[in-house]
Amino acid sequence: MFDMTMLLLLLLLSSYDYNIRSVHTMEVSTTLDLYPDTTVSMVLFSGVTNGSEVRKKIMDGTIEAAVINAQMICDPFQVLVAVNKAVHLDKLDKKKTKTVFGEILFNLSPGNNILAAYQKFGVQDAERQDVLVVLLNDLQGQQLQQVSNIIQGTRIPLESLRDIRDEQQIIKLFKISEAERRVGRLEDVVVCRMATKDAG
Amino acid sequence: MAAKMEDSTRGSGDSSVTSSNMTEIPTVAQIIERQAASGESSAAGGGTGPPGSLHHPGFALFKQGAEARLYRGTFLGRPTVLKERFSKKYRHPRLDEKLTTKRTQGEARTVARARKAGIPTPCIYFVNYQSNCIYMEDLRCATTSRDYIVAVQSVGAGDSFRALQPIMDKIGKTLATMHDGDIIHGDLTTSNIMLKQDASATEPEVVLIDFGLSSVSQLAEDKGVDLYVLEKAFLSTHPNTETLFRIILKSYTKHSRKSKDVIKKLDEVRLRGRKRTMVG
Repeated sequence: MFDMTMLLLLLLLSSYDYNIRSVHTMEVSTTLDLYPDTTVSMVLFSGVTNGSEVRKKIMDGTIEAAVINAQMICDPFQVLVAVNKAVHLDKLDKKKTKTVFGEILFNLSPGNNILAAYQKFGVQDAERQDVLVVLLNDLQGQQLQQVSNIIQGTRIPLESLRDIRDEQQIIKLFKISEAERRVGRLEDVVVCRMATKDAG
Repeated sequence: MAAKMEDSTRGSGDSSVTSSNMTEIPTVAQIIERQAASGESSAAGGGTGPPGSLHHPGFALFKQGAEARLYRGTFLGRPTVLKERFSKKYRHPRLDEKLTTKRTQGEARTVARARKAGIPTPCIYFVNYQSNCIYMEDLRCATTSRDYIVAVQSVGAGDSFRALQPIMDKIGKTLATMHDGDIIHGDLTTSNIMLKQDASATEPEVVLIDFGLSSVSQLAEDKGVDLYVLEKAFLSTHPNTETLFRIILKSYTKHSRKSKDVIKKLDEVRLRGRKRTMVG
């Protein structure tokens, strides 16, 4: 009984957090507060076996989405921050990369090397991996349909990100010291780094 | 001199005892709770309901300073404070734009630096260099050390000093860490030193806010001036608290690696004021 109430409470909390507009199966959509005309959808795929094929389809433009290495993501909020910044720079025409989706990966990365960002945060070569797919303005769900046809894996709830994240790898990549780690939650530490990376 | 100060401290303590006799000294958590119950509804309550400002839909203005305006609202599902630096019409437009952007950038930079050094400070979510806006974490379960000191002093008598001691200790330690990381806050006041205590936390945590005037420097002079600014602000907002401020300095001396030079500079600055004499 207690467990059930907790579960309900958690569900309520999470729906409040991400201001969910539509919940298809395992897909979370939200609009950006600063750009209400932009809808962001996030879908998590587990056990993806065709990483290199997916990468090829991204490069030739078949997949119009950001496909992110889920291990490097602490929390969906981190992704939303990257998307918001990408959309912001896109509107100003100040992107560092060619596409909004490339910019999302770039924003997630601590450095200024685009290739390194793609290699760390993009889809991997691994035989099995978990990826987070980010779609923009997929109101009819067509893009998701298309992506789902290509990616060979199973959809799992977004909440599973917490179990997938590789804290040690994130800490290592961002070079987060003991002192900085103690300042707050890992996602906040990472988000602040991302938001201030171009402050010099 | 010192003895005289001690006397006046005790004097004010006695007078407050008569006004509100033996009330218990509030804890940080209690003050936070009290403020949440009374103040928050007027402060836009997290920006859910109110219409918000023209330029920032969903965000409601709650404070305006000389440099920037502060709004409260929600950003990507999180309670957020929006700090917007506005343009000053009396400056030349080109210079104004440059200064405003540089300061926004500078603030973001030092906040990042402070966090790297282990100083808790609100997390920055997004910086818009176009409109000079910084979106940052809205501290929940927090109060300014100013409000807390005022609240404690208004009830407690001789005991208020003892109640505040651990907090002052922590403030001194945080400042020491900050200066050891070569960060100069530039505007240390008791309003810019927050005390945060989540429901899960057993003890309050010191969080520094407003790095708008901050800079990076290794000079003992700058650190001394930083402490001097705090001393001035502290003693003028909280009369008869010389003893309290001394605890901060004592804790600073204990925890900072280079405290000796800084304290020496502080004594120097006290004699001449914040500005250096420019002779020769």
